[in-house]
Amino acid sequence: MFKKLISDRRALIGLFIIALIVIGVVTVSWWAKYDPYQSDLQNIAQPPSLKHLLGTDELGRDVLTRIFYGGRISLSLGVVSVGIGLIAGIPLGMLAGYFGKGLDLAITGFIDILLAFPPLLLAIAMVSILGPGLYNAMLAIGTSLVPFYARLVRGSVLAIKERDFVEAARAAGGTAFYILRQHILPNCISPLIVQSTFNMASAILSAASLGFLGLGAQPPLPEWGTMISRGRVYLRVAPHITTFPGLAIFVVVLAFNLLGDSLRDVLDPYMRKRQKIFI
Amino acid sequence: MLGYITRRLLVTFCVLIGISIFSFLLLHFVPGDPAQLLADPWSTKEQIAYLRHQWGLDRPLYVQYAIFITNLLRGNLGMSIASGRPVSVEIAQRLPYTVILAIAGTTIGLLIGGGVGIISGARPYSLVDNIAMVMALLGTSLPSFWFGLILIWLFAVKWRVLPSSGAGTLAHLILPAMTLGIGIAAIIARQTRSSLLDVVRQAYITTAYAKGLTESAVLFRHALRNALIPIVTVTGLIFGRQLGGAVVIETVFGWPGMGRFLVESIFTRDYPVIRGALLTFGILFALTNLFVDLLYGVIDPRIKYV
Repeated sequence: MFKKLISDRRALIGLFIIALIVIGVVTVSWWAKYDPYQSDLQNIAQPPSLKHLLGTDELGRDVLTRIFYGGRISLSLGVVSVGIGLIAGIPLGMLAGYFGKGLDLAITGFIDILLAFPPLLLAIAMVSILGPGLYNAMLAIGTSLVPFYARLVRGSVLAIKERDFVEAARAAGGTAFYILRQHILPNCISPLIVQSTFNMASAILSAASLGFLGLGAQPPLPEWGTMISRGRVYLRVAPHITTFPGLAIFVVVLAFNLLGDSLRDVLDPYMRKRQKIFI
Repeated sequence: MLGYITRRLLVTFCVLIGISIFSFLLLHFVPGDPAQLLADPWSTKEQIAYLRHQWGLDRPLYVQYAIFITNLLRGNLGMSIASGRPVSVEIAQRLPYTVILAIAGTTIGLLIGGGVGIISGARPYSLVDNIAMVMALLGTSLPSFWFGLILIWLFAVKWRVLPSSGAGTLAHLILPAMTLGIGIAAIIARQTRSSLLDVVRQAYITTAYAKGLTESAVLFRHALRNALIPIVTVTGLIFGRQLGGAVVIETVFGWPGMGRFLVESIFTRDYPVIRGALLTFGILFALTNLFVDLLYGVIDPRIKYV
């Protein structure tokens, strides 16, 4: 599988970009010459130069340094949100798919109501309850992913639970929990990996949108959406303050989408024909 | 067909009930006294007590829900804390702007995305197809608010040909609709191409060519019509999702729609408005889905037997 994946140009480009960014954000505190929070009022909104490769922002902070520190926030936000979606979505989908009947009806109904709101709007609704902030944004975006995972897993479970090997495990006296964990879950992994890759992209995008709206990470945190929202005021005189963080979001989201596209083709040839929701 | 329509209507009705329960419970999830949240910060104890009584907040949850629904059916969503005006009036003022923006964006998306998708699907793996699909992939990864700011910088700041914010004239609509439309176009282009590719492998397409029909006749009369269903599904889904995206784009362009209103209300903790706005978005989304489902029946007559 891995061989197939690295022979695909899309996966290679995607993985390369992700690896580069992960290395960059992990090591930023070693190589960065500037402090991401320390303002330098002598050097406000300077255009890119040799001293500041991507220029400085409205408080004279180095944009490049802040983008890489911001990458820590965006990537961990993506991972945590997807994690929340998985942790809550998988059991819900399994219970609904395996036990069926009333439980299925209740869970599917719940999922359908959550799906009645566009994901970003659901996240915004959550933030309106929890209040703005980085951790609340993680929780909100994670929650907005839950229905997608639950529905995906439920569908897979429905297809798998009638197969002979599950029947055999049941006849051998396996408990529901054992069968779900040992026999059904491993068979759901491929679509979950594909979905999670796309969800990383969409979670990072949603987080940046929340940050931009002022509902996510709060300044002075160098979150990409927040940086764009701050720099927006200086669009006329210093467009670079908004341009570069935006480019960072764009490149990271693109990398995950490329990887997702390729993974989908490699892991699950049938999924290509299925309707894609997270694009 | 009638059975299909009835079933879809029933499903939509259940979803609407769900949406109403969700927005009803919203207030109860927020820490604090719901009556206090509905009242403005300067209200007296008597005013809060009056609100508590009016919305039945001192009674069991199911009674509260019944009161909420009765008020809702009468168009009473409470008073906005920020403006002191009825929430329904405030929403009615802004809703048309959001709908216009969503329709304009989806139309642009369908025209560009559909066109590009057809060209790509008709000449798969050609240079044109490759370029188009790379562009489409780039388009799906574009943060809309950032793209909007770039358009503002180009068209409003640099070239000074279009207004950067506000509403009222067609010129004001162009930039926000373009921002919305490009993202949609990218998704529709990919979907159109892949469903066209699925269709052209079918035997009836070979037959159509064998009959000696021209390529455009085969493409438009046979292939595209059958490729439409997934395209319609995706367009419907996107329209709904754009309602969410509109929140961001309306903020970028100062467009006086529901999305910007919702965000402003979150900052002022104007809970009657937040509740009303989410409810409206949910209803709009549910009705769009219903419309798409009914449209299937028209495009594909086989669906009525399902």
